[in-house]
Amino acid sequence: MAFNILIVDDSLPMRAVIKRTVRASGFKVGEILEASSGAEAMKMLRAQWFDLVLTDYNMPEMNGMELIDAMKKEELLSTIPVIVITTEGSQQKIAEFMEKGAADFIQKPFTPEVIKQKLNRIMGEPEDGEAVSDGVDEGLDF
Amino acid sequence: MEKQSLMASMKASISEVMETMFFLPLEFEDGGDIKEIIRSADGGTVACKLAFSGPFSGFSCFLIPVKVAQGLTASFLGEDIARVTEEQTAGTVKEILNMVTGKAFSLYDNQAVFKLGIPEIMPPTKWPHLWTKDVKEVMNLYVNTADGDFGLGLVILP
Repeated sequence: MAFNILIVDDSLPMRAVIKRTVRASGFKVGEILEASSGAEAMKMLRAQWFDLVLTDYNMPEMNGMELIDAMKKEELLSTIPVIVITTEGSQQKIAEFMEKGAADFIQKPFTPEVIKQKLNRIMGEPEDGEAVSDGVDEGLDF
Repeated sequence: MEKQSLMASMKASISEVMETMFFLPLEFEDGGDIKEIIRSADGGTVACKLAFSGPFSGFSCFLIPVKVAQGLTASFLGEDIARVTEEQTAGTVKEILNMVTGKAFSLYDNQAVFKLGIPEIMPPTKWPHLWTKDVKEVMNLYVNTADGDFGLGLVILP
């Protein structure tokens, strides 16, 4: 099964880095699409199915938590796991992410291994033969 | 606010961000003046500012020569430096300041909640705002790397 993933981040370079990292993570990825804001993400989520959302926390207008809130209000979207990517490291903030319904969080700066671990945890281990090695072929050196 | 501890957290954060995301080892130059980045940059400087609030408030800033920023962007994106755009460079500079500031606060006190603003690129006409005299504390770090030098500052407002 190939997973469709939506990356939400107002930073163009960070979206590109996350996309490359996910592609190299060993999962059979279907489409990886990008949204530069929470509002754009909501439009895309209503238009097509995604298996996972990776969202930045600190974005203008609608932050990552507000995006989760908006998704939770819509039945179809409320079941999609959301991983929050953030520079926030306070225990209180992390507890708040989880309480609000985030499936997990990734703290910046991150390594490809961390992304892979989180995807494994949320989406399950890749099946045999699905792995695309260690990312070297993808030029995954940030 | 404990200055020494915050300074140590800033240094640890800068090292972690640059080494993890850019594979760029670095050294801190004690006593280095970050305004020297502007004076010595060949080809211009990018300046970025990020406001924060929490147990104490202020802003962090990042000064980096354009050529160094373009090199970091190329490395970050896996692109040829000749193809790196101004938008990509600005985005990378903003992301570095965001990561460094957030990580520094979590290293300094992971029980405290600091609210970070949105990083903004400062045009040269606004650079004087970075040197405001009305401050409680200023901490500047001058950083040497094989790819060139840059400076980061933390300004605590009264």
